[in-house]
Formats: sequence, structure tokens, C-alpha cells
Amino acid sequence: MSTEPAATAPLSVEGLTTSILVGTTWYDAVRDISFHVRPKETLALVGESGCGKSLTALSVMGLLPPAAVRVTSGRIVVDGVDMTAADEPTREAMRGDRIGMIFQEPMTSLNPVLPIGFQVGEALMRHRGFTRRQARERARELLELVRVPAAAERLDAYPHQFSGGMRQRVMIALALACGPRVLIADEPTTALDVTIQAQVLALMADLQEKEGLALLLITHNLGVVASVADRVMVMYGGDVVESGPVHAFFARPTHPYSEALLAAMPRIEGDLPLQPIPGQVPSLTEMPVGCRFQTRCPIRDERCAVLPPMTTVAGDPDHRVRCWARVEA
Amino acid sequence: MSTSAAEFRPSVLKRALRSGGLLFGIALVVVMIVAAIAAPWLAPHDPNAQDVLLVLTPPDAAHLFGTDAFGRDVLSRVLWGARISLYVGFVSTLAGVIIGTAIGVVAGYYGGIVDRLVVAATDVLLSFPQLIMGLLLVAVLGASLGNLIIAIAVTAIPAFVRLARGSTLTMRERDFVDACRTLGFSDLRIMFLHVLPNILDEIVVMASLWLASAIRTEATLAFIGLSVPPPTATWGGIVREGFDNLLDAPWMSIFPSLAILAVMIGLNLVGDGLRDATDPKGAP
Amino acid sequence: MSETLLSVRDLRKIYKTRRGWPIPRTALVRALDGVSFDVRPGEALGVVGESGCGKSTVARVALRLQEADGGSVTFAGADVLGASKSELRALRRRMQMVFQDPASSLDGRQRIVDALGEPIRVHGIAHGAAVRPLVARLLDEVGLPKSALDRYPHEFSGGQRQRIGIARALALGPDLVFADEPVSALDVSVQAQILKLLETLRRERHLAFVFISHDLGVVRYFCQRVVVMYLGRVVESGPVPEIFVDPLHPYTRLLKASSPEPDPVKAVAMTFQEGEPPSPVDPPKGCHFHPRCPIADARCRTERPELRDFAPGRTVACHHVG
Repeated sequence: MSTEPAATAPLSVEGLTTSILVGTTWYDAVRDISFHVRPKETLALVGESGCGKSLTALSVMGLLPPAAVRVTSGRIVVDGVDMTAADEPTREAMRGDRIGMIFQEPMTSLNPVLPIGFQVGEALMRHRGFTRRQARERARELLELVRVPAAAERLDAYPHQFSGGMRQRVMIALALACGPRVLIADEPTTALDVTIQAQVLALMADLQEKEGLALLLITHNLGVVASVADRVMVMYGGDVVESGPVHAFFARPTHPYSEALLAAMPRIEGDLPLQPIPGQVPSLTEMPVGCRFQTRCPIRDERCAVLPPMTTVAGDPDHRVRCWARVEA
Repeated sequence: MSTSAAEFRPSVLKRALRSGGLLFGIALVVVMIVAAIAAPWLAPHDPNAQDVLLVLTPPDAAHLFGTDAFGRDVLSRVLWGARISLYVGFVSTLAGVIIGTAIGVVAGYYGGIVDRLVVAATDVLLSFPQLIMGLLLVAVLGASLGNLIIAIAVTAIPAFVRLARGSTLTMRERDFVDACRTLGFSDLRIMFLHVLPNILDEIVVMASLWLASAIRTEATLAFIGLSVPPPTATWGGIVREGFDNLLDAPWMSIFPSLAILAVMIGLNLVGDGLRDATDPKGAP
Repeated sequence: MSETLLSVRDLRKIYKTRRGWPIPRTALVRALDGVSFDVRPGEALGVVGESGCGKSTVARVALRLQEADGGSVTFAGADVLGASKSELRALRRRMQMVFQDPASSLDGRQRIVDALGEPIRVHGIAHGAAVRPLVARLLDEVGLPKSALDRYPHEFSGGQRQRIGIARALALGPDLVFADEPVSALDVSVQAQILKLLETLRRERHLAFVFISHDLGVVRYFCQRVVVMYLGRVVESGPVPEIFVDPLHPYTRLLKASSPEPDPVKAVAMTFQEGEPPSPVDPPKGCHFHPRCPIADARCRTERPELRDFAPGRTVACHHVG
């Protein structure tokens, strides 16, 4: 792992708050989150639906639906460019060039009526002024890079002629076309079968190493996190509740939500009894004041009405948790 | 990230009421219907009473819409004509909707050979322009109120078969149809108690647009003399009667035409308004 | 060994697809290519496999939502595939289904009391005012309050909707429930709630399950026995503990190795060779798994391995095992 300081990391987010308009009121769906991702590093953003992990990714990409969602405060710096201060043409120039994104559904993210080769090369024509021929040549190299078999022959194939796993490879090729420094992957393997998921995850790890990518991986699957991430951030109700290096986190999950989430996961080995988390995530309009997990927390007390700060775990400055009961003396 | 924004969508009714066009359309249509129902009381004169002394009188205080070539009061004829025109429109559309939807739901639900036959038949019927179809049927059946209704209903059927079939196919994709079958419900119950209510929105929207079209078809058929025989007043008939004197006495054609126009606008506003109100993506 | 509740023998289902342009060619998809298994009363049998392996088709064909193209399904001694309309209606009281997506499997225009009361009325279990308390009891059994009765499906969260779907499947008092990926659309924390609920129902009602899932962890938690399917065929079956500890078929091993565990020490093994899963439209000859199999040889490419008994209660279809 590189020791590059946070300020010069390819992706750094400082105090990001993103709000959603419900009726006539703005509610904070992502609250004051900060992180950075270094080259060759994978940061996993993990949590259940509604925790704000995808919204964070969209905020970074500047792809929020303008009328109903907005970044209310914070700074997002991608490869030295402040995305929050930039105008739309600048952000557009960044997307697909310095920062790439892959989505959960490779079918709906590809245009069904355009050949694969063209779609992969399109960003190069847009951002790098490649000619059609140059773009096609580079597209072939990219498809080979993501190990699509018989890449040259499949440049003229259409998305429906590819299987789900192959389409996700194409999406990766597309995201990497301009050699971005940052890749955001939003549930990239969730729609895939496990054996294909393993292949795609291996491919991503391999490419990341080769290209020196900073990878922000958004997932609900703690198994995937354990397999590929270097660091993890657990989100609940728009807050980061725990963050730390993967080994430290799994060795010592500290926030009650992290513990509960791990206990709720059925495993294929070991003998841990399944422990559901009671209740459900409150809707955005009914979030409690203070710690948002308090409505389902087994160890809540009166302190939880105030949002706890992030504090260190076991004296490890990298492993931090947001819980009054876990504040170390 | 799934926001709960969708749950805060105002109800269909609320959104419908916020749409000015829809309210105006409803008002327009209701006024016309009330006028038609109340024609016997609203009409200042007997619509068929001729008076040679009053032939082709321009609009004045006694005859707000003027009189026609037989000295009949145009306002009274338009009011009475509304009864026939709206009646034919409503009854034929209703018949077309009921029959067409029933066939469409059954075809979409069962699929297979039944479906293919129904689709082929509607394709043939839809390839005739609506008016030609109506013309043909009235010519064969003879001009009478009942035949007119049948003719216009038949032109409406294939459109509703198509719509209902398509929507039913979409519903079949949803698991609840299979859930119903697993629970041992009969096909009839599933089709008409589960599938139908879920596609009714679209049917109602289309019905209001078709109603406008049915009234127009009736007027057109009346205009070329293929509606209820004279002297019974219908809107298209009155326009036709005034046509011979269009330059000397334009009021005879203008007022019934305005009545037709008002209903068209009203029903189209209702149709569009309902479509916007029932389409979840149309939320403002 | 106790008696058998459901017996599936050599079940076959073939779909015809037409693809190609301008001259479409008809291709046969063998969604089920001779599938056999048994379910005992009160037992949860897991059916696992990846997309396209035919695991959902098993449930649909056994419930007669689709007609089989061969084989037999026997439920409590009665021939399901040959049942007449009225016989089928009677059988359906005892065989129910829970769907993956509860939002899609509930009629959005029915209140909960109507959605759950309808099967009760249709099957003449109760009428009029007697229906409501029965529905309330069902809701209570799946952990929903009485206040849910008069609400509509969209007013509930995904987990609650799945509880409603389960309550509806229980309405007729079945002996067997086919559950098709019942928890895979849910968040982990809610998924565990539903699994606990199903486990309670299985014990208290002595309910048997055919539990279809792609998630080995979920199957390990909920099921006693498991059937592993690959491209329309059963490749391995046996008791859950044994198969999870010692999978025999190379495909079962691949599945296990690919399933990520929440433990960075046990990173997912990515040692198997690459390659796309073959499509069921044109499956490979011989053993369907041979193109991805690390131990495949000439025999695997030509000869289909039969499902053989390996040990008591364990069967496997591989030339290289046993």
C-alpha cells in the first residue's frame, strides 16, 4: 500500500453531506463522511439498502438527479480536481476519463443497439480525440486486457450476445478505456453467479494492480469485502459507523451494527448461529436524532440521542468506530 | 440506494385534482352531458317544429343560435342532438370497451393459439380506417340508432383488445398471477378479479379518448347521411343541414360544430389528464 | 428412513426457443434433463445452482404452473402431473409457493386481509366474518401486527412483504412449500429474520420445504439435505453437513470455493479455470461440466455420468468419484 498522504490521493472526500428532497423538506441521506483512496488500494463501502453507499458514489461522480438530490456540503477531490467546485463541463470531462464507474446491471448500462467495440472506444474518441480506427484498435486491447475470449472477433458483437459475466468485463474495459486513476464499482458482482463473481473479482484485483487504480467498491456483501478490500467503511443510515483495515475490522468488529451484520450472515463454514437484527432501517423522514442505529441497537442508552464522534479502536489510529459504548478511555 | 421518495408520491386522485386541464375537461364534459339530459327543459322550442315565417333567421333574442331552412330553432336542435350524439358515443364506446377488454384479457392470459388468432383478427380489423369500417357496417346493416351503435362499437373493439392483451401480458410477467394459480384460483377469477383491476387505469384513459373519437365518427357518419334518419337531430346531421346555406346562414353549422369541438377538447383533456395522473413517472 | 412426501422422478422440461435472423432456427433448451429427488415430511431440501441450471423450473413444473415434458411427480401418493383440475385444486391446498420478489407476487390493489382471505374463502375454509380472525392469526404467526390487515402491500418494507407472502402460502395449511429464492431480494439483517421465521414454521407446523437458492450459506443454515444442479441435471445430493464439509462433485467444490466468506483469511479461491458457464441452449456433450472441470478427461467429454449412490444418502454424478 502506498503511503501517499490523503490530500494527494486520487480520490479524497471531505465532510460530504448529500440530501434528498422529500415533499418540501431536505433530509440528509449521507452525513458528513470523509475518506480517501490511494493508488492500488481498495476501499469497500458496505451497508444495506438505504445506508447511502450508492448515493455517495453518485455524489462523487456528480451524477445526482438535480431536482431531488444535492450535495449540501463537503469537498470531493478527484485526481487534484475539486468536483464540488467544478462546473458541469469540467465534471463531464472528468467522468469516463480520470474517473470510471461500473454498475450492478451490465445489461442496462450498455447500449443494446451499438456494437461492443464502438462502445468501449467511444470514450477515447470523446476524451482523447482518437479516430474511429485508433479507438477500435484500443478497444481490442482493452477487451483482451479484461480477458474477453476472441476479443478481435467480438468487437462487432452486440451486448445481448454476451453472458452476464462477459458483459461486466466489457463494462470494466469501458470504464478503464481512458486509463482513469479512480474506479468506482457499485455492486459490480451482485447480479452475477458466484463462480463468475469470483472470476470478475479476481480480474478487478489484477487490473487494479497493473493500472495502479484507486478502487472504491460499493457492496452489501461482507464476503466480497473480506475477499478483495484493503480497507472497509461500514455505513448505516447515511453515517459511517465504523472504518478500518479489513483484517482489523473482521478480527474485531466493534460497532454494534457491524457485529450484528456479521452475525446475521449465514456462513458456509464454522458454527456461528444466525442472529437477525430486529426491526428495520427507519425511513429517511423518521431517522432518530443522534445515532441512527439506536432504534435497533441492543446496547443503546441515553447518550445515543447525540451523534457519537469517531474514536479509535484498541489504540489503532486506522480502526475507528462511532459509538458511545465503544469510546475507549 | 433506494429512497423512500416513491412512498411520498401523492395519490392518483390528489394529482388528478391538481391538474387544471383535467378539471376543465371534466367540467366541459359534465356541462354537455347535463345539457343533453336536460334538453326537454332547457330547449326553448320544439326541435322539430317548423315555421316558414322564421326560415333562416340569424341569431337573436328569441333564437339564440338562429333558425334553419325549415325555421327550426338551432339551439333546441343542438340540445336535442346532444342526446343522440352523446348517447351513441357513450353506449358504443362502453360496448367496445367491455367486449374488447374481455377478449384482450382472455387472449393475453391464455396465450398460445387463442392469442394468435385474436391478434391476427384485430390486425385485420385495425387495418381498416375507423371511418371506413363504420361506413361499411352502417351501409350493410342500414342506418338506425342501434346499428350505428353496433358499427361504432365494432370499430372500437380491436383497439381495446390490443391494449388489454398487451397489459395482461405485462401482468402475467408478475408473480402474483402464478401465486393465484398456486392458491387454486380459477382462471376466470384470476383474469377478472386480479388482472383486470390492475390494467383498468390504462383502459379508462384510452376509453375517454375513444369516446371523443366515437362521437366524432357518429358526427361524420351523420354528416354524410348515415346516421339516425331525419328529422331527428344529431350534431353531425345539423352541420350537414346547414352546409347547403353555409355562406348565407353560417350559424346553422357553426353552433353544432362548436358543440362537437367542445366535447372533443373536454374528453381529450380528461384522457390526457388521467394518463398523467395514473402514470407514476408523470409525477410533477 | 421415514416416508416420502414428494417424489420427483426423471423430470423433464424442454423449452423451444427460436433465434437467428433472417431465418430463425429452433433450439431446444433442456431446462430439466431427468431430475429426481425426494422430500420427506417436515424436511427442508435445498436446491442450489447458478442461473440457468433449472432450479426454479423444478418448482414451477412440480406445481403445474408449467407442464412437464416427461417424468413423474408424486405428492403423498397422488400423481401430480396427471391430476385432473379438481384433483389439482385439492393438491394445491397442500403444496404452496413463496416467491422471490414479494412486491411482484402480491396484487397491489388488494388489502392484506383480502389477499390472505381470498384463498380461505375460495377453498371454503371459512366465510364472511370468520375469515378476518383467521387472517389475523396468520399474520401473527409470521410476526406482523393486526394493524397490517387493512393496509396495502406498498405500505410495507421488503421484509414485511415477504412475511405477507409467507402468510399467504400458509393460508391453506400446506404440508410442503416451494420457496424460490425467498430471501435473496432482502438485506442481510432482514434475510436472517425471514430465515428464522421459516425455520420456526418448519418445526412448529412440521412443514416440508423445497428451498431454491443460489446462496450456499443460506442453504446450509436452513436445509437438512441439498441437491446441487448444473444445466438441468442433478450433479450431487446428500445431507447438508456432509456436502458442505466434503463436497464430492468438482462443481460443488467450485461453488463452495467461490462463495465468499466474511473472513479475510479465507479469501475466495480463484484458482479454477476461466471460461463462461455454457448456455443451457447448447450444453456440452457428456458431462455438462467438463469444459470448466479441472479433472475432466476424454470419457467426461463423451459419456454422461449417471447419478450414483456414493454413500448412504449421498449421490453424485461424476466419473471420477467413488
